[in-house]
Amino acid sequence: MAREADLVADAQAVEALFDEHWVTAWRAAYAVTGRRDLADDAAQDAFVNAIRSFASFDRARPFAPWIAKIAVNRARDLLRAERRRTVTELDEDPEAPGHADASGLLLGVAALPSEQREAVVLHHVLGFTLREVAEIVGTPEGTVASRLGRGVAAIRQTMEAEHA
Amino acid sequence: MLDADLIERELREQYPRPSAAATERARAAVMESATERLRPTRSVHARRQWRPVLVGAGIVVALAVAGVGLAAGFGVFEGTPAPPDVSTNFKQLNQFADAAVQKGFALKLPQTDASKAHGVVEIQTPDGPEDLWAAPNNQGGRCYLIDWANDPIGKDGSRYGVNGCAQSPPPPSNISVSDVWVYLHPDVMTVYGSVYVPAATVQVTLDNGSSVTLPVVENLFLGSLPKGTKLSKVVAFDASGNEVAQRPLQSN
Repeated sequence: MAREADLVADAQAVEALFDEHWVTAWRAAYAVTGRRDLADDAAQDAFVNAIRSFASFDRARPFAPWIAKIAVNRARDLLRAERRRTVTELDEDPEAPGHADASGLLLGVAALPSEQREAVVLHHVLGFTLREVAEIVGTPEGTVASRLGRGVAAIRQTMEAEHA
Repeated sequence: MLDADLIERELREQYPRPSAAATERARAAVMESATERLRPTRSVHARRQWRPVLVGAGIVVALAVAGVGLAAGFGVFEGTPAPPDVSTNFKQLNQFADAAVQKGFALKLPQTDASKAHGVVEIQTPDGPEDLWAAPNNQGGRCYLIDWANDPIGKDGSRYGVNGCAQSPPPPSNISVSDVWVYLHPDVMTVYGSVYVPAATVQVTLDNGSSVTLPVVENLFLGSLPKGTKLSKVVAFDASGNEVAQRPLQSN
């Protein structure tokens, strides 16, 4: 049977969600991968999956932490797959923190252990509460607070060393 | 010692953002996925016995289903000239059609004559009156907008709603039907569609065996049900109550 279609375009609502949360999803993914190409793929996959499973989303809750969580998880999956490849493929992004022209602040963030970097970006860059960060990364709130404290201290050290 | 607020402020400013190319690529993928999602996709489901209900010509039918009032008010609404915010939405549908073609979507939307947009039918829903507007298009059919009368108008001057165009060529069953819910009205499922032969009413049979009858106006119909309601069949009748088309549906 031919596929039926009164052509539907709830497109405006979807596009509004995309416009409002795309950068958040991407930055969350980038916090995990540190690579633009993987963040592109992870954030895009996250949005496509979110739209497909939107019916299961509890609309009483904010959308941003939900999409961020999907993006973080997808980014971790992609990163795990990438790590099975040769290490030499990594860090080819000239804009990646860690590259020579990155600021001391971004270098400090890039140098953090991944779990601290994720917590710092989700909380300080994207503005999620500790509780939301805990939910996104799947760890207790106290652990997030601890990672944040250590992460910010390390960034501060890096920057102060740079300016010393 | 560096101030934590300063670090946070600088970090928000400096932390990398997605490139424009990646953003547009993702936008196209998401929109294509959304379009796909919004098309009915149902798997085969056991059929319920259908008990026909004859409906007299021109009667406005109101049936209660699952506690949700559903009343048609096309008599006073049909032909109502569309206000500017509705016309703007039809113009934007044309822009969306253009963009869809440019982005290589499989979707091929016709161009609508927004100046001829007009009211077709208005129903009552738990979220207030819901309206179906239509305008002719350049493929000989019509495009439509479904909105809630009490929703605010968007910043761009457009009325928020579900829009699209009747299928061309018609499906073999001569009935197309879709159900959709929108972000602003998450508890309400809108059922709508087209009948491609002359018809006065459609009877929508639900998975639980009950049914609702909706008027067909300008070949279009509109109904509202609680979100999650499953449909099993749509049958169209002419003004004499004769069945003129039937569309079995496949429930999720």
